[in-house]
Formats: sequence, C-alpha cells, structure tokens
Amino acid sequence: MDLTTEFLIVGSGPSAAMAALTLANAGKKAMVADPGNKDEIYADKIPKSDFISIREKEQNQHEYFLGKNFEGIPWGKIQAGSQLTPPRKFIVRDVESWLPVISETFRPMESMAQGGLASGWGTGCHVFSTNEMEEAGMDATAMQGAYDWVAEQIGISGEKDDANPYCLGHIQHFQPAPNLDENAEALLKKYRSGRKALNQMGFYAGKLALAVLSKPKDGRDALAYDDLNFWSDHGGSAWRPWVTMKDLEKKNMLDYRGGIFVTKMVESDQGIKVRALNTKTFEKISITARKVILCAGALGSARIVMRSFPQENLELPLLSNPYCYMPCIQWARLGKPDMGRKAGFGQTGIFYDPQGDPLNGGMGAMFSYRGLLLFKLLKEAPIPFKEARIIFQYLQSSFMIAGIHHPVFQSKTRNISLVPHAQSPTGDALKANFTLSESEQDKNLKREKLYKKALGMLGCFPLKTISPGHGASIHYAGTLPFGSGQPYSLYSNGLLAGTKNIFVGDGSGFRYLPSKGLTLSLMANAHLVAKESLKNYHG
Amino acid sequence: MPENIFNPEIQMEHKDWKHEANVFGKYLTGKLPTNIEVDLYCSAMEKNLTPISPKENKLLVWMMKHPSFTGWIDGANALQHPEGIIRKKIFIMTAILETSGNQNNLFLPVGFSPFYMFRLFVSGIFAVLKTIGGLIIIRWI
Repeated sequence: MDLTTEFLIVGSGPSAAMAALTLANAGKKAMVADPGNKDEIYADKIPKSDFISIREKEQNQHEYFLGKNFEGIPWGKIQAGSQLTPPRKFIVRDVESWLPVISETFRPMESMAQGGLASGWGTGCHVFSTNEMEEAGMDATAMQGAYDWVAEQIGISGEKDDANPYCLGHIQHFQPAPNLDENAEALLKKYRSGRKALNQMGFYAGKLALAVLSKPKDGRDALAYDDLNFWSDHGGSAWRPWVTMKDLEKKNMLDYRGGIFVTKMVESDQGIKVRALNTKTFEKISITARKVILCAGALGSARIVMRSFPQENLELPLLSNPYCYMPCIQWARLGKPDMGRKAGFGQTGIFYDPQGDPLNGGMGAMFSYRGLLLFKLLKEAPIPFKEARIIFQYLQSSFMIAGIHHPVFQSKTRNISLVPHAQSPTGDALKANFTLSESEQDKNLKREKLYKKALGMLGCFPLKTISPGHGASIHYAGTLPFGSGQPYSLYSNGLLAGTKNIFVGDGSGFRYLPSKGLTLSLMANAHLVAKESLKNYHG
Repeated sequence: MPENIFNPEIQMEHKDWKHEANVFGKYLTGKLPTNIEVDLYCSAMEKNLTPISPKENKLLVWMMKHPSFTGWIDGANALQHPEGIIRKKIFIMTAILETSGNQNNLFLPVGFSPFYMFRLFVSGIFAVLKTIGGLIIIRWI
C-alpha cells in the first residue's frame, strides 16, 4: 500500500494529539499512522452506573472485573502492566511480539493502543519548574505559554494551593478542582494542622491538577464521581488522546490510519519515505510525507531512528523515573467506609522540594483504594485468605497508596540499543540497561525514608515499600537528547539532527526527568515542535 | 522424579475442579458456592492450566479429602509457598466470590462496631494458630 501526505505524525498518544491539533489550527490536515489497538471486548459491557451500585446489583460484573479469560486476576511478580484491569489490557496487546525488550534491569510498559499509554493515564498534570526545564534542555519561556495552551485545549481542573508550583504553576486556564474524596480530605486536613513542620522538612501537599473536567466542556461531561476510572471512560470527563483526535476527524482535520506500525524512514530531496507494516497482515506499507513528527514515545521513536540511521554498536541514552509505592493505613479513616460517590483518581500530591537542591525533589501521588476490588490486596498478606478477607475488609476504607517518583539524570549506565531478534516482525529487539549508581540509590533511599516520615506526620502509616523494578514508573525520555546537532540528538526545536524535516514531538529530547509526571510537559513540547514544523513550509 | 519438577502427566479432572470450588468456597465464606460460582471456577481452571508439582499435588489431594484443614494449609502456604498453585487456586476463588454479585456484604467496606473489632481480633489469633498447625501438617504429609 502506498500513501501520501504532507504532514505525517507517527503514534497517537498525548504528544501526537497535541501535534495534530496544532497543525489543524494552522489549517494543516495531518495523517496519523498508528497501530491503533482498541478495547473491542469490554467497553460496552460496563454499565453507566457507579462502582458501588455495580458491585451491589450487577450479576455479570465478573465479566469485566475479572475478564473473559480471568486476565484481571494478577499473579506472580509485580511488573508494569500486570495490574491493568481487563478493560485496559488492550493498552499492552501485541506489545510482546512487536516491541520486544531484552533486559535484566529494565522492564518498560509500551503500547500499540490508540491513545498510547495515555489510554490508562492517571490524568495527573504537572508543570516543570524553570530549573527543571533548563536542565531538560527546554525553552522555559516558550513552555510556559505552551502549558497554558494545552490546559485550555484538554480541560484541566485544579486549585492554587501549596501544590501549585508543582501542578498548575502559571497556568491560567483551569476549572475548579473536583470534590475530594474522604481519604483525600482527611490527608489535607492533617497537612493543614502540621503544615509548618512539614514545610520545614521540605514537604508541600495539596490537590493535584487533573486532566479531568469538573464542568462540562466541548460536549464532554463533567466528572460523574462514579469511581470507575480504572475501568471505563463514560462521559469523556477524563481527557484521552482519542478525544482530541476524534474531534479533529469529525471536523475533517485529521486523517487517522490505524493498523500501521512504522519501522523506518529515508529522507531525500523528494521528501521522506516512511516504511511501515500492516499490523494484521504484515503487508508492507509506504508513506511519502513532506514532514514527519515522531510521537511514538521515547522508546518507540528511538527504535525508528536507530533503524533509519543504523550504526554499529550504537547505544542511545535512557531516562526513566525510579519508582516505588507504599501501601499505607490512614488512621483517620479506619472503620469509616466511604460508600458514596467518589472521583477515583489520585487527588492529592505530596511534593518534596529540598531547599537549595531544586533538581532533586520527589513526588508522591496519593490514591485511595475503593475502585480496585478487595481480593487484589489479600495476596500481599502472609496469612490465610479467609482471615485476610475479614481483616482487609475492615481496613480497606483506610488504605491509601503513595506512589513515589524520583528524579533521574543521564548516565552511561542507562542506555538502549537495537539487537537482532528473528521472532519479531521488525527483526530486532530493544536491548536495555538501567542501573543506578550507589550514590543515586542512596539518595533515593534517603528520599523514601523522608517520605515515610512525612506520611506518618500526615496520618498515614506505610506498611511496606514495594519497588516494582526500573521501567515501572511508565515515564520514559531522553533517548534522543536535546543537543547542538550531534548525531542522534534533537535541536531545541525538535528537529532530528542530520535531517531537514524529521521532528520528534515526544519526550525523547528531555535530557533530565524531574520526579513529577511528564505527560503535560510532553504535550506542551509537542505543541511547540508542531509549530516549528510549520516553518519553512511552502505549501 | 524430583519433587520440584513439574509433572505434565498430572492432570486435574473437571469433577475435581467442582469439588475444589466447593471446598474453597466453603472455606472462604462459610457456605457452599452457587452453581454459577462453581462454573466460573472451573472455567478459570480450564483457561489457566498450570502444571503442579508432585509435592503440591499430594498436598492438594490431601486437602480435598480433609477440607476442614484447608485454612491450616493455606496459612502455612502463605508463609512458605505464597506463589504456589494452591494459593493461586484459592486466590482465584476469592476473586470469583467477590465479583459474582452474591456476596458483596463480605467484600465491600464495613464500618466500626465492637462486634467487628472482636471478630478482627479473633481472626488474627486464628490466622496465627492455623498457620502453625498447617506448618506441622505439611511436614507430616
């Protein structure tokens, strides 16, 4: 199959959506080439109700809560993706065969889904600070404007409280934060009473900014407080990339092509020839484009670039936030079941911002547990299941999970390369190495200890620390770092060094990753890159 | 054959799964599971066939003949073989019971009451005692 387009965007995640929207606003209709896996089984099965009502009334709830093949019952070692609910499993479908990874130290979660990994995004929105943007290689002034533009497009809700510097920052376009659930309320109440001591330790807590509507917008409903965000996207209150893409398709400002897996590109004076495979038939596809914006994720875009510009013993750098989570008992909520409607998203964040060390902060996102079924908790307890059920049934209303992210810098001990792999359709696999130095591990452990102390002061008793391994943060960046024209780097405008019209709009360029979630920054960067791609374009 | 080698010739029959479902269901909730819950368990076993070691199979066969000791073996396995097949089977049955729509009162959050606090305390004691007993049984079988 041969296709032709002016602007080709590879991928369909949050970066791709913002790139497509930017081009559409400039009157350019982009083609999006994407594998585009969707949920074909569960989307229509989940009733338009709330979690508690479903649990109390629906006789067939096991179909989507456990899955057709009981794939919703996790067993074995915890790794990224294994905790996805059955309606979200499509996010990782086919990844093992198309995107194999060989590594003892790094287990990423990648996606062939329409919407990419953001189809299961927790919707947390964070601006990088000026220091962080400069360290990452971004233009801080341009990014400020881009953040606000993205917020206006997708709809963000939040509050200017103590968490503001780490969430909304200078963003002006936002809706009021959703109502807090009772766990989040209790946490912030405790924070307010102990604020001085926590701030002195470097901890600041507040409401997270979320890509979730608290008021209707552009035909999307406001948050329904149905506590089903791990299972469905009824009403569209949570922004997903396909929300923007479907809107553009309706306006005839996007040509979305699913079932396409891009493998490599060749640029010449006649344009860019993009090679791809049909994901169902493996038929070869050729796309000719004037400009290409790679938005396949830092790992996906790196694969395409390494295939397109092969070099012996080529290694590219790799960034991924080290991550752990701490299940906690929140004393104030013991024996106080919350059976009302609730948001279900993680609504509060605890940010560690040590004075004089702005690049070494931490982020703790706090989640209450109700919408994820009790049985999953029981496996962690070294006691008989019968007694575990009785004990955890009482404790579950007090459970909070603190997800702690650490910052990460470039290092020679963190890299990727392509190696031959006969079983994959592309003939190659990604080999990854990811190790932290002793001093980095030490810093992270100290940070985690401080978090445990802060959690204690916030009325949460951490039960244990679970480290699911590198790659589990699902934050990846830095494979084609911003530079000054060296091979396998990006210019600050996103142009791939050595090319005239190949841009990279995802996080591949970020030279450093702060502890905060990066999705909002990916989108802001993609908007700027797409704007740059419009320059020198003579129609 | 060494005890830690999975023997592919050990196959569980379908009628064994029904009996397992009844034993595990009764153990977890105090009452026999419904036909739907039993069918779901059998379907889960069919779709998640995992080879079982001769040692664990011997233990499972003994449990099925002595169902009142299920909790004891479960407790011991929680310490010694938390990722074993028997624990996995009971875990799957727990998941089925939670989402079958019949036993929500056993899984949805509950509030404070003196009776429940007493029940928690007693459950804790039983958990410890069963585990100790289970460790002895496993050594003996």
